Amino acid sequence: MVSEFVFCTGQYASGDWESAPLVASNLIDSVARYTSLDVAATGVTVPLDSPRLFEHPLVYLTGHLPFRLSAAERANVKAYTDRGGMVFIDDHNHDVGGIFHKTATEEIARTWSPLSQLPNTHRLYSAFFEFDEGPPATSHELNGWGDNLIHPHLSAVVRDGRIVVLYSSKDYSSEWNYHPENKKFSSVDNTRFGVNIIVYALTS
Amino acid sequence: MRSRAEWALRAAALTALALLIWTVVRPAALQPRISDSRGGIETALVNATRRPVAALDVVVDSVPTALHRDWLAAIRAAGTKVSWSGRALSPVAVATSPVAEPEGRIRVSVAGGDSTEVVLSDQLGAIDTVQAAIPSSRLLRTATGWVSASARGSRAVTPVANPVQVRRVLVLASAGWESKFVVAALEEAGWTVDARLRIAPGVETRQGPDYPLDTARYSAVIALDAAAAPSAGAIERYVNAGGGAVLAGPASRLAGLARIAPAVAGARRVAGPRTGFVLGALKGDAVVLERQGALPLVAARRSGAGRVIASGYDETWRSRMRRTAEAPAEHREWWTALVSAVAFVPTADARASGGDAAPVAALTAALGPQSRMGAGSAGARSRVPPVWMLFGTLLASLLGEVVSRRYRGLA
Repeated sequence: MVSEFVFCTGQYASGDWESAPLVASNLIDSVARYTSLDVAATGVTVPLDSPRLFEHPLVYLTGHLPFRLSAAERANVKAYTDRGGMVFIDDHNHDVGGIFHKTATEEIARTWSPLSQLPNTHRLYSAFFEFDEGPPATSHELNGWGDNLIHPHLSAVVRDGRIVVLYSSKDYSSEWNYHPENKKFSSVDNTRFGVNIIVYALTS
Repeated sequence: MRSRAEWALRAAALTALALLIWTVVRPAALQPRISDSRGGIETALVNATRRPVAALDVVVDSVPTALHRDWLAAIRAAGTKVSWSGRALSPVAVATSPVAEPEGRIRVSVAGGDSTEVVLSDQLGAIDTVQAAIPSSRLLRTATGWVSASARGSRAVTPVANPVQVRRVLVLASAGWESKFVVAALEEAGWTVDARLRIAPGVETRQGPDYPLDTARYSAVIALDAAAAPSAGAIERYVNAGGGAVLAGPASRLAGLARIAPAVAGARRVAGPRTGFVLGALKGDAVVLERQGALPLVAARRSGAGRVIASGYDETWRSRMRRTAEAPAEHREWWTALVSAVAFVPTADARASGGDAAPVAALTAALGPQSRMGAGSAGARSRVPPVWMLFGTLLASLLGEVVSRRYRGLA
């Protein structure tokens, strides 16, 4: 099926873009498990300065290290969002004082505009599953790791009512970075919010 | 000698008198032809109306007005043989029609003779110059009053069509990049879009109110894939009632839409900025709108009171995501054109609002094709001298005879 959804992880020149390698397969599993969307069995990794990025209108970025875009990456990803692409960036450090958060928020402001708080009533939280209280907390937040905070909101760059850049300090990258087979050991699938992000990107 | 001259004058007076009497009492069918010249058509029409003639040749250097054409047609209907001739007139014609789109543009269609340069104008002045050797059209955002097309002695005029008010568009599809970007493109173009996007069995995300599919609310429905199957019956009823439908990609394969679909998406795919399926099983009344080589990709047909387009393209979103500055606009234009082509919009009959859209054609329809008899001739010609000349001849002859006889001392 050529129109299927392909999960795309973005590769940027700085930092450790590949720090959560199992997130892709885990979210692909969830999309296939809960929805009837056509989804590719495996994800792809695409450099942010590649024209191939435009074949995947949702791209996932994460890392622990400084997040800096080259001029080519910045221009490419800016054009990508101008055409309707959406970027999801997750801080793998779960630390608002950490280097990834500082550099990523600076880079987002430089490339698009400063982040603003996304209200917990946003359609993102009801795109498929209902999350009445906003973004679900992660085990890393509850265990007091990282910045020892439970972040009640996500941040975003919104343009014409559409999320262009979604930014999370909640460390979903750690939360979802496990083999899909291990979901059977959880009472509640913690990747369900990932399905909401994908469905939102496909429908908004 | 003088006596002979007096006899000659008397004969001339009698002849003039006889002609004057004959002019009054002769039957119309036996009256001679009258040819009129440029600029004299009004006089000729008045004369031919007051005193019926056997034939009327009209020599023109520009197309007579609608009033004069109707007048000539009435004279012909009263029994006079009417023909027309003159310089080569450009058979220019113009028409305006509203484009069924939110922007409310007006399509001006122009047709003319070979290599004719046609000047398009509206009430405020010239708009454009077009070569109308083949019919062409322009999309105007605004035009005031009327639109005229002028070329070589011919000026076609038509009132500006009123822009139409389009209604909502409904998109039925599975959630995916194609549905997302089709909705985005139409909304950017100004359409109000409702969407029902299937995410899982029994689960769909809805955009817009849950209106029934009817022409009171929707101008068109777009089916992108098999998610439209439960609505196939409603789509068929809607189209037959006058609505428009676009069946894109695999949607034309739905069994429930087989009666209205112009064609069916086959298995073979084509590549390009827009990738999709080659259409097959074209219905007899289907018109192919777009091909790649010999392969049909977009086709249309009427069904009931509505129109349906089958488009083989199922990944138009890829054309929008190309890294060129104009890619989003081209994607927008393409989808707007597709929806406009089928959209239901209630319109008033433009023919009631007058104009002179194709004057040469109307002239030919009223009086028949141009006659060769008078082509190139100029000036008034009459086979019988006019009344004033006959009367003058009569008076001069009588006066001459009386004067001559006085000089001879007879009177």
